[in-house]
Amino acid sequence: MRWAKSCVLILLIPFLLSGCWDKIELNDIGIVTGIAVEKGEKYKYRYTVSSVNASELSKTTAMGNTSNITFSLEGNSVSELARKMNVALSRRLIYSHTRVLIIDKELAKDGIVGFLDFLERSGEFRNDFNILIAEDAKASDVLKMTYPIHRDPSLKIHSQLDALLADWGGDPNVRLTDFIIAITARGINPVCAVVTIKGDPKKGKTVDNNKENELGAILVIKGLAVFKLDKFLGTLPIEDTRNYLWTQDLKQTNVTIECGEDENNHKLYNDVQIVSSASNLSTNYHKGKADLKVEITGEAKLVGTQCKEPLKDVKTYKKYEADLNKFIEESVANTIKTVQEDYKSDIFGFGEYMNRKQHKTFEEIANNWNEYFIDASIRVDSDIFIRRTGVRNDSFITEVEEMREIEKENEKEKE
Amino acid sequence: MKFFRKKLSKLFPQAKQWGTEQIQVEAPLITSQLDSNIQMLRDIFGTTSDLEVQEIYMAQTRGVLIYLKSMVDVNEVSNKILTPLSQLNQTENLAHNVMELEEIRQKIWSGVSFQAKEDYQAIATDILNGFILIMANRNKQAYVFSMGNTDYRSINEPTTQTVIRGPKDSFNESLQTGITLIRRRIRNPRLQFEEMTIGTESRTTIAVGYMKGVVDEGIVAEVKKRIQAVNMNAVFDSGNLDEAIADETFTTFPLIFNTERPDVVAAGIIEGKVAILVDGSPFVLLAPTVLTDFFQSPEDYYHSFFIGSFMRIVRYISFMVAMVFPSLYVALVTYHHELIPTDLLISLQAQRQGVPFPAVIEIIVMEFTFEVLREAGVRMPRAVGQTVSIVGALVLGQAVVEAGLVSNVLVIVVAFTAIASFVSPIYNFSTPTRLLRFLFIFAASVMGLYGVLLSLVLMVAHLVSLRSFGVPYLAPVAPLIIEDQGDVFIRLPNWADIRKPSYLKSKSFSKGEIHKPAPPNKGGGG
Repeated sequence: MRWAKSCVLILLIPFLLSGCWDKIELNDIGIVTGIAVEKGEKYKYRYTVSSVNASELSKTTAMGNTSNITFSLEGNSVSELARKMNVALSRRLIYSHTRVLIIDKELAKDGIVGFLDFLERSGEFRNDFNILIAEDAKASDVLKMTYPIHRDPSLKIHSQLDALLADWGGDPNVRLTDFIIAITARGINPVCAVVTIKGDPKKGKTVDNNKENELGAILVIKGLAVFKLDKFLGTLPIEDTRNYLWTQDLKQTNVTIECGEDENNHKLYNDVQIVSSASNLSTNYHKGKADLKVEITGEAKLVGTQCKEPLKDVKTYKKYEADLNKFIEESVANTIKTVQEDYKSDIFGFGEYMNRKQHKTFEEIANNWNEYFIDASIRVDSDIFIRRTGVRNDSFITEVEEMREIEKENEKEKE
Repeated sequence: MKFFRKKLSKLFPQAKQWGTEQIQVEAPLITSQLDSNIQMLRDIFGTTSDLEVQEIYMAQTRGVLIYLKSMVDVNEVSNKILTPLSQLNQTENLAHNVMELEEIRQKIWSGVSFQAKEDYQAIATDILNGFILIMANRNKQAYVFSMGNTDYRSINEPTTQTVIRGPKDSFNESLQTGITLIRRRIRNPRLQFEEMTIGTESRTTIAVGYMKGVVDEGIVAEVKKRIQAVNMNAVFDSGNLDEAIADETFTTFPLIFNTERPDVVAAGIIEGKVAILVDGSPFVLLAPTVLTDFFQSPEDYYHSFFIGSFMRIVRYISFMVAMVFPSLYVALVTYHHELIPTDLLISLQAQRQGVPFPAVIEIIVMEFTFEVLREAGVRMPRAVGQTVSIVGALVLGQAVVEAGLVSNVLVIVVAFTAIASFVSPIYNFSTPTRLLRFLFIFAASVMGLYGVLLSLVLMVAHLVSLRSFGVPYLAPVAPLIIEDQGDVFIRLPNWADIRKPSYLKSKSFSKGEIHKPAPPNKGGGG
């Protein structure tokens, strides 16, 4: 019995000897919200962190000072620099709350795997930060552009990208694991959003930037960065981000489609909001040529019209739907073609899809997939229904037009 | 546990000898010599000032009236005993007529309940319990009449277990009143009370109440067995007894239910539990009990089952909050910053800016302060109540934060925890949370969330090991009893046919057909 008891005691000891080890008081940590990596002048990398000045972000303790502190260091490995920041900063940095990673365009052109490994390996980074390429602006400057609401620039970009993705679809919604999978998987290449500074970066760096109605400098999402493996190739305009998302997972967006002309030959437009959509890729390999197909289905509602067509009429819907689908098909196909021709990089994941669905075929052509992708024929089928028209049927424009015609007739009768 | 007990009994070896001496009487039975009898009783009671020994004459028979002034209703003695006696003495002027005691009793005290006794031990006990003793010369029997005084606190509203809707009476210190209150609620001949005496010095009367034919006889036998085995010299409250008969004392969880509400006791008895009433204590014990009993308020049944169920869930959550909230705070703030949403983390950091102590010290100090406040609040004289609340609320709540000694969030954590710990309908159920909370905080500060989890696992392991009069403490959750679930986390309505908890092994009455209330069918008429 005594023997058994002591055995149980010994078995209990490991429970008490283990436990969490990384104890650090809240007062001793600096919360890093953003990091930026650029090419160094002397060394390989120039690494910038943006650490939050928490008391400035609290209503009661704010004094009007800066709410984030940035500091840059140069070195050959990001992982060392990440721990070396205390040469200037006062607190131990924790990276688990990093919201954005800004990579300089020039560095990205040379490839970024060198430091992505650290981000993935360390385990300290949560997989929920945005990856962005800074174009026409220094990556470190992006972390310094103040904004009145989210006083920390990194928090601003994070929230901005979420909102943009949810409402219009301008952010490819890429996270670290997605990015790394896109680099390593066959038949898919990574993308990410591109950010730039509009205005004078010098003005944006001070808290005074927040005092003007029109900010001296503001961060703007510019478009979609196209990669081949880990190397940055170029930037597509932001409309192409949406077209890219049509092929992936677009939540909601608004599209403007031409619906007619008025008597002065000014074009008239409809505004349609896509409420939900789903896309389906399919690939087919036939006689040395790949056929790529995107099927888009979804529902939409008419949120604004400049035309007079009666909206109580089914025919109008049919016409608008046809216009809408044609517009989507054309624009998505155009984007895919641009990528095929200009960048020669399968960012849409057609190859990866084929790998999953037609594995044996893909195995044969995997090594040359890029060439097949470039030569592939593209077909986009869109099938979106307009379900409702807001809280109104016919637009008052229809009534106005009717009244105009009555007036015209009256005038004719007078003559 | 056994280890501790052994150590304790080594430390206090005399513990077992306490209160073993009995009233020692040389000759156990009374004799026909009145004077020697009186002397005998005087020897037993000594020179206590409240012992009244009155010599009386019943017709021509010399007798004596002995009682404790403090224990009997003197008016009653005068009205029921002395007045008829003097009338007898006036009418029966037959100088030669020597009447037997029994004859006199039949003549003038026939309406008064009595017992004939001849054993000193029994007589002394009866005198102590408020009986009056009448002995007559040349009689080998003595008569005791129950004349106990009823000067008790009146039946008031319960002070610790209040309800908004429901009966507003509560037990008082009188055992008889307690039995009355229960009997009024269960007018059923199967309701049985058995009186016993415990406490070698105090000789407190206790009553064990149960429904014969419903309760598991084994439980009744076990309760009685344990009460008889109690070896204490004094029992002043059911709390004393609670500790003496519980299955396990090395636990912070109460293993016997206590309540001052007669409706709760009555409901428990009908379910098949055993009630233990202790004279002098307004709290009645109910056994066996399970953990979930402490989350159930009688009001759950008096209100709609929706709000009843909702409040139960609130109580369970509050229990967990009171138990682990401070330790979770410590673990998150000192180890797991990544688990806190960014905005909250920044806000927490802003508040902790400039606080000089680590979070653990901060929270232990504040929790301790709260315990001090609570204790002061319970013990202080009413007149200084205001002072304590002002000092507590203002000085410790506000000033501490303003001085930058403690962060704002922490005050919220401590306050919320404190309030959550009061949610249980039974006050002493806050004991486990109050005590274990510190253990959890300590574990969290040393081992982080792992520590909190580890302590929770240990706590559950401990809970599973507990028994209350043989019933598993976590029943009906562990062991899981599906048919009892209708009245555990939620309360199903009456028409859902909730049976008595099967872990009590009570014999259920047939409920008859249960009708769900509904408007009459159109075809069937009204």
